[in-house]
Amino acid sequence: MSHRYDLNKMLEEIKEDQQGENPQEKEMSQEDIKRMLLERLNAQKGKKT
Amino acid sequence: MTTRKTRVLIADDEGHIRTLMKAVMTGMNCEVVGEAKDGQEAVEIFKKEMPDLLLLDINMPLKNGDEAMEEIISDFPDAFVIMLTSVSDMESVKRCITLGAANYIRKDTPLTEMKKIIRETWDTFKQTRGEE
Repeated sequence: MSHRYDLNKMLEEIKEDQQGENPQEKEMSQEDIKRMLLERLNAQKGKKT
Repeated sequence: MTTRKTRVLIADDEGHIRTLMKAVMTGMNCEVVGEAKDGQEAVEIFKKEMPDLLLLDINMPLKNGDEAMEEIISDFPDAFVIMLTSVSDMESVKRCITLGAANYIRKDTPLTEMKKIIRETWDTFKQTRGEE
C-alpha cells in the first residue's frame, strides 16, 4: 500500500507546531541572558529613584 | 597592604567540571575554599565557609542548584551566586535571576568569555556593595 504525502499540509502542520511552541521552553543564548540581567538592573535602578 | 583573594565555592555534580572550574578560578587569582557535589552539600559548605562567590550548577542530586540558591539567599541576602549550567530554558533562567543570581552562564560558553563574565559580574557586584 502506498502513502501519498500532501506537502502543503505538512508545511502547515510544521508552522502550527512552531507557533504553538511554549516560549518558556525556548533555549536562551548568553546574549538573551545578558539582556534579561540588564532589564533587572534597570528595574532596580528605577525602584531606587 | 596585601589584597585578600576572592574565596570561591564550586558546586557541580560532575567531577570534571569542578576540576576545570577550580583551575579556571585559581588562574583568576581566586582561592577555591570548597567543592560541593550536590545542592545540599553546597548549602552546608556555604554556611561553613561563607565564600565570596558561589558557582552553582542546577541539575544536581539531593537538592537542585536553584533550590540551594533560594535557601542560601534567604539566609544570606548578600550572597554572590553565579549559575553555571547547561540548563538554559527561559523558565529556569528567569527563575534563577528572579531569585537573586548575579549572573547565569551557559556551560557551553567559551572559557575566555566565561572568565570575562565572572570578572565583570564580580566587579559590578562589588560596586553595588560600595566596595572598591
